[in-house]
Amino acid sequence: MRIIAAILLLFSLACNSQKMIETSYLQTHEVKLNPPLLEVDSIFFHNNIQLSLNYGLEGANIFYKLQDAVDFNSDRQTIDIDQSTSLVYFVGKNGFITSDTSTVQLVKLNDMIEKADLTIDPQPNVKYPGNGNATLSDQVKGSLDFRDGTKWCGFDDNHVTIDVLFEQEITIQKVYVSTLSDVNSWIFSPDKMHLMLDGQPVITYDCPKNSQNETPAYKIFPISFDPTQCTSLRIVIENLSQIPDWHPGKGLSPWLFIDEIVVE
Amino acid sequence: MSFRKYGVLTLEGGEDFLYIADNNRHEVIKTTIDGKVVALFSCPIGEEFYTDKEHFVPTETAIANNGDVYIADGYGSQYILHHNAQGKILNIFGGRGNEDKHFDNAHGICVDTRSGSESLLITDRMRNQLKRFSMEGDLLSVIDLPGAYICRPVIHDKQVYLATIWSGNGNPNTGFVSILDEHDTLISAPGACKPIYKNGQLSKMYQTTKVFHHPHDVCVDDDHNLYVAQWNAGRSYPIKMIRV
Repeated sequence: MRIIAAILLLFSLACNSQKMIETSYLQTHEVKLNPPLLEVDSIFFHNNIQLSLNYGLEGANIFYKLQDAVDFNSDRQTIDIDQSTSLVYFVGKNGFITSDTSTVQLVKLNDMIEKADLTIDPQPNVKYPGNGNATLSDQVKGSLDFRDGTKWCGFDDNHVTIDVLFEQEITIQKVYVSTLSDVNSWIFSPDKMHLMLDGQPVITYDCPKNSQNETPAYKIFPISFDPTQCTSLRIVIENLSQIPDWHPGKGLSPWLFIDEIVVE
Repeated sequence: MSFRKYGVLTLEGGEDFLYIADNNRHEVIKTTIDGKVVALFSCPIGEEFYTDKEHFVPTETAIANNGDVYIADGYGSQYILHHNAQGKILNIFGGRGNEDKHFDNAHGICVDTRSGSESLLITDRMRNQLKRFSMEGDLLSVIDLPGAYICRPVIHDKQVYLATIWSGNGNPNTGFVSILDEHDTLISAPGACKPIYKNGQLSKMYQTTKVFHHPHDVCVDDDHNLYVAQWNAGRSYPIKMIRV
């Protein structure tokens, strides 16, 4: 079979009294690339994990860097990770528009939350109860499908409070709140999160806003603070007050979906 | 008010007819080329398969050489309804379920005569599979196309062309076009990664270049040029791809 390799966009224009067909070819410099395909077993892992970046387009170069790195690498597509970090990556090819940059948060799990007593107030909406309190400490990541069994808790409340009572006094310096973003399903990132340790306010975290045309994605918010000894953690999540104007559901209450809390 | 209608043009006894699958009216309408209605294929309520017409949301029709009409209920109960040319139901197969013979979005159907005998090619869109059935409704084979959410099979010469509305994990605006050869091998995927088979299994397909949004149908002309119509693509014209 002969290969189809050129693309033609047809524009019909009326010209004088007769209809003329004016044609123009789509040029590669007008074509944007998609980010590379990230392959990883789970973005939550226990000891270490290997991930790969792939892109099935000849001549394309994949660029990536880990959390604190300054420069991007393009030397390999398989990366070994043994600590929590974020991976930033994109792809470029001569003559094409470089892809958007993608970021994925990779979280190393520990047993601090697993051994703690975790409660949610209020409980999730009856439509999306997950597995109640246990959902947020079972260390099982939900898929991008918000109906994914018992892995996601869905809320339509203004505030959600998560209380964690640790088994013993521990020192923590980072909390990850793992949420889902799926604007077409009216699931948005929260507005803010307030953290308290042993009843004392520690930090208020402003969550990045969702954008139009966003595809379903995990939104894992890493909230860092000075190492602090504590026996309890409270996270007060402020849901977005209303769906933004650019959305068909503007003015109505959005959904908030959470699947895990991780403490470091 | 919007209607979703998916049409098929056939030549019967020297005359062209349209078979229009109407999602909102829950029926397939056969018309002449100038719009005169000559037959209606409605929901077979009362049969064991349907309790009301709301569960019958047809998406495409295929016509066999003997005039039998096969309707894919792709947005409804996932059955394939086999009628004779007079509209009498002869068989119903497929439906929802977890077995290979079942469907999750049986969006498109066509009659494949490339081997010299007839069989049916039916898309199982959400499972990323193209399924071959006998004309009697027996499953013959399953063609796995991981990452390819295929809409409708279109056969031209030795190839099957499939508008592929989403790719990868099914995110919006990630479509491409799938082209299979006579051995059911994906040989080309304009807009997506190069198809790679490992131990006979196709690696997951994903969009590489943002040429397409949501391809929904493909037309092939006599010179093998492609015309790709899209759903939810900013009301854009179909994209023409010329053979080189």
